[in-house]
Amino acid sequence: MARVTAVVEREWADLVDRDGLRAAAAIGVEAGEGEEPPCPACGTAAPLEAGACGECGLQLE
Amino acid sequence: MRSVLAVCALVALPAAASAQKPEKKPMNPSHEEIALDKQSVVAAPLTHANLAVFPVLTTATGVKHVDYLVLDEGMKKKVVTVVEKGEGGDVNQLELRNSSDRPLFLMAGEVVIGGKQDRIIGKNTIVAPRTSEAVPVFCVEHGRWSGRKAEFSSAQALAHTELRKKASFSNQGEVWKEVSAKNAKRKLSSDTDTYRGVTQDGSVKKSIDGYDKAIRTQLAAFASKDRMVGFVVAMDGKVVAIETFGSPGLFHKFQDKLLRSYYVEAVDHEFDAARPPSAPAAAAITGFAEKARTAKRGVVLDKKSGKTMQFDEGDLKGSEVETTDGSSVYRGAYE
Repeated sequence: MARVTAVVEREWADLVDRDGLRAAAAIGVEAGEGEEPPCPACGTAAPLEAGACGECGLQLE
Repeated sequence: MRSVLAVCALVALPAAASAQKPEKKPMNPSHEEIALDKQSVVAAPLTHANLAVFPVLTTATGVKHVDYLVLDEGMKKKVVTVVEKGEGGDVNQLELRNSSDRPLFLMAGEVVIGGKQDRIIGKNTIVAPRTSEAVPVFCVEHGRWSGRKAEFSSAQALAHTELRKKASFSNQGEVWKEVSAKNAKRKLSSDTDTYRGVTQDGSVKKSIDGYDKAIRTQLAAFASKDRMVGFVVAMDGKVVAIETFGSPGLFHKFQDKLLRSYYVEAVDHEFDAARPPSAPAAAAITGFAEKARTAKRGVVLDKKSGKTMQFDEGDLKGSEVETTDGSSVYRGAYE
């Protein structure tokens, strides 16, 4: 069961990446206390680097 | 009386000859129409520098067509609005409201500016009348995610063809790369690396002026433009695209934007004016069309207003939009 879940999750992630909709998939995923909110473009939740997402570079501040 | 008979005979002779061979009618003395499919033919090309545009003409008659609204028209009439999705916004989706009583045909690559960042439409699609829905988009302004005005306006332009392909068949990262590459080629700089300069800057307009004037002049003299539903495009002597619409009316709404998207692409291709490329042979056009026709499609959007199908076979990609009864609204194949 765990392997099936992993395969389905991987396929879903590939599909989302292919359509450039990773941010859409991240919608509704709220940042927990002390966590960074996900980047609206790539979904990465990490501290900003010079106001930009460290993963995709989108300028957020 | 004798002279009248002679004139009648002169008129009747070519008529009798053409009655024996009715399948092809010359468009001009040096070119003939090429059958593209059961309902369309390709006419002789309109050319400038490294670009050749072959008009595609419909041969179907008496077909009733839906009068689609398009983005520029809808925004001008204030019956179509595009805003950021929700309170926070979403880089890859915008909220589109079509408050008119006509379906809206939206084309991948149409540029909208404003909101938290400028975007291009990500998929060819139909938005039903009196409907509000999220439409897929791509950011074309890497350096901005802010702004007070949530509502967008149309840049009244389609992205150049390479960027249109990235929008339909690639991802956000590739779209940003293509925007940066095009801005660099056009020597356009902005604080936020937006694409809007390519759509609005005077230097870009000037650079494609030669294409615009030459093709516009040839098109004005083209007798069958009322039957035009699209075109085959060749760049550097090679067929690169076939784009056709369900009716001449819908095509004419996109004609100028589409042509411009090819001019903006062609102007950055290396071209030796002393050795202009020859237009591709008929077999290259029919071969390209056949490859597109037989490519395996997959549905990427399925809505009550119609569905969008795409194919991606490496060097040949394509997109089609159909209504729920199977009528074709748009077909595009690009290399």
